[in-house]
Amino acid sequence: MSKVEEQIDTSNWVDEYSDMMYNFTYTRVNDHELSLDLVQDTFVSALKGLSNFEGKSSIKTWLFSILKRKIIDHWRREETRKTKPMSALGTDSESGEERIIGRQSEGLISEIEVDFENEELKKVILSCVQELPEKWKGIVIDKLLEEKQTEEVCKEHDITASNLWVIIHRAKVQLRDCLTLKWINS
Amino acid sequence: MIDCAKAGALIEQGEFEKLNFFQKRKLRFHIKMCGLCAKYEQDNRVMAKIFKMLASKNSAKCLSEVEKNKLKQKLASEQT
Repeated sequence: MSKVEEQIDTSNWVDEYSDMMYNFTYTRVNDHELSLDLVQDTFVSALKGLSNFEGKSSIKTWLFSILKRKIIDHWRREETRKTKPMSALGTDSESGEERIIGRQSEGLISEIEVDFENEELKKVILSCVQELPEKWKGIVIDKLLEEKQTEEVCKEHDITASNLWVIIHRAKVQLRDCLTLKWINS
Repeated sequence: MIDCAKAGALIEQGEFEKLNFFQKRKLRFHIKMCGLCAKYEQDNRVMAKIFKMLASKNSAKCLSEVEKNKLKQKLASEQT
């Protein structure tokens, strides 16, 4: 057992970190059971890899780095499992497609009443967020749902600010079309 | 003259930061010429409201004692 390992008290992990880890995960996968599983997996991986923990960061940072990897792995699995999730909407190709889609979505999104009690709308948009390509999902969630600062999001995802706005825009076009399809046309 | 991708990116940026004079002029000019981006700008107002709603509704939840105990048991069993 390494010196660092001896000092780590793992008995308080659940009480100390499980709520914040759960909330972080739930925002990103939108599924209660799955969030619990990912949090549990993270704890188990952390215990197994405790000897690799060098104590350079805090336990919290370390647990979250494991958790983030698990969430990304989950997104990637989902993406390969589904066959081109948004291909029906055609937004997955490089620019240009957006024009065609814009014409298709004649539904009036401006008629949606955004109401704080509108749980159904919330469900629909969150399921649309889950359908975004894995490479955009984390960025969109950090910027639009977690409302993180631009610099922070860019640093975390290693992109430039102008890149960020391009990604956010393409993702939002896809979200708008998803919303039109699922909400207005239902 | 900027293209739709650039105009779209400026619309998003403008939601979080003040655009400078040239950016604003380029965007307004593009939107005057482009019906699709004009429509997006309109739709985006609703989208912005929706995201605001989601973000403020993102209030933290706590796990139940039962769920926490399950996690604790799992961790304890891994340690032995």
